[in-house]
Amino acid sequence: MDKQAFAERVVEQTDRMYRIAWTLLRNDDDCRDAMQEAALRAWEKRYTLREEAYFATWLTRILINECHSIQRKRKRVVYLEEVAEPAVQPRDMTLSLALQALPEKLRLPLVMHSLEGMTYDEIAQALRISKATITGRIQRAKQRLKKELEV
Amino acid sequence: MDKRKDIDLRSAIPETPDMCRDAVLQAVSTYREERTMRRPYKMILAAALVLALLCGTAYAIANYYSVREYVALGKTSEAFENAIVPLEKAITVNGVTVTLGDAVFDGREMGLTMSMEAEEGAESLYFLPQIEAFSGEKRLELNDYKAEGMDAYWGMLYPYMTTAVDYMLPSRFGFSAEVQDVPTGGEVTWRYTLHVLKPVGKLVEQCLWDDEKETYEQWEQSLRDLHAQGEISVLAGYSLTDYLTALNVSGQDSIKTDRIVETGAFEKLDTIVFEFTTPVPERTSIVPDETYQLEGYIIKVKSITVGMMQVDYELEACYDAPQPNEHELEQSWALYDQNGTELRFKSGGWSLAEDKVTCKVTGSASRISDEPLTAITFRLDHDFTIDPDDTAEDMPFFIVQLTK
Repeated sequence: MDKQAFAERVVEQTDRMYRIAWTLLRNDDDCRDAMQEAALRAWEKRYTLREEAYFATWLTRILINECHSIQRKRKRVVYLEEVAEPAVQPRDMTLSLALQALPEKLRLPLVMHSLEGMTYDEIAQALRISKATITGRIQRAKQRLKKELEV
Repeated sequence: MDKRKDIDLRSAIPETPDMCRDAVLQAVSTYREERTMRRPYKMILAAALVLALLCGTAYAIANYYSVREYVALGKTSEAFENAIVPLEKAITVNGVTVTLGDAVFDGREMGLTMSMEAEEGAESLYFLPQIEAFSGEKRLELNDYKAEGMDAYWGMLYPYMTTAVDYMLPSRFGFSAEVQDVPTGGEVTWRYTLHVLKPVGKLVEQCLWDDEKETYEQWEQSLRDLHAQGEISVLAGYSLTDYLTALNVSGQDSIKTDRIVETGAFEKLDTIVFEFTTPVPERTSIVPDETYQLEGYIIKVKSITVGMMQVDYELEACYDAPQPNEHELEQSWALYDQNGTELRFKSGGWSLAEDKVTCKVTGSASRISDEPLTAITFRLDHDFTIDPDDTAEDMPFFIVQLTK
């Protein structure tokens, strides 16, 4: 993949990167930093991508690493009562708060699967945990979300 | 009560703000091409191509997968390169070509790569992998046996059931095996076996267990009911784990293969066996005679073993007071080399002794480098998703000097 094609692939993933970064960081400033660092690091590590079909999963993994790095560095603690104000509000604040109330371990795979359409295998590769664990976490996430929303 | 019929998560997350879009655009605008050559890898590819032309083998170079990616994640060392054993063997069964890439062994862990490709229209076959190791005539005991991209114990269906998936599943796989008590010097012979079974029944997409509608036992029974109707339930296009578990198939390797055939759902088609030999590189064991005082316990370093690919360690934590149970103990350690570079976590665990004050801690981390390892910083790892207040720098640590 040449530089131009690579750059286009990264830009194509912007919305997905934001949604996943927001799921982890819930702050637009941090999301911006994570996305920028991920885009840079992806180019540095481009030789580690051996099959273009996995570009999205591979980039997601890099982004998640950057998000965790930011979490460590900035000591962010986001309580439900102190949800950061995004530049644009979610359309459904009730659902948004319910989603944010989930622990990250449940929230992230749920968003990756149900919103981003990633398969269990792609999520397992991105999060470096087993598919059996992914299945269980997504099921529990859905159950807790439903209970939270009283579906 | 507000009842929601459909939960659309897209409405729970804001639209991408312009500043984030701009940040990505700015990043990609800085991309530059460097004149770097990954010469050893390209040489191997060239050699493989020549070999293919000379031998007339038909395996797809484009699908070549190497331990350089699987084990070393693209960053190898001179010792690692020298230890790689190219395999470059391929075999085709019923339109499915299995190609071995290469293997590497560091005296404790073996890594092996494989890729698969199917002709258009090839029917799905069930592949069950098995790894064995021998030193001369002596069979070596394997500690662990993992696979990436394929379930090491249950194998997988390939080609995938395309009706169940709408994306490309991996066609490249890595296998790892940890071996005990390898004699120093000499070599190890590995036998990699792929049991190939052909489904007799009809492959159907598996329904996930819905705990709101049925118990787990009821769901398992539904898989057995499908089996009775001559149908084989497949999860995510490739996995037969749930189906075979519901049929009470157990045992290891070839015993399991026989039991799978006994279910009547599969018939044996072929057994592919690859054998290859790897040298046994040296591993250096150090037993530092030092203890480290941390809050609430002392750490004794029992041993540290440094190999070509990884570092293994055994610690003993001695607590000031009896501990109620091991689940609440925190003994997961992140390792850093003398330059502060984190060694990639591979495994770790601990067990509290019956005296309730002594805790055995073992683990391993990946390190592939030409630079000798002279010191290791052990820093207590912490689940930041539980307490995001903490940072890595806050965590307790101790430093072990490996050279005097």
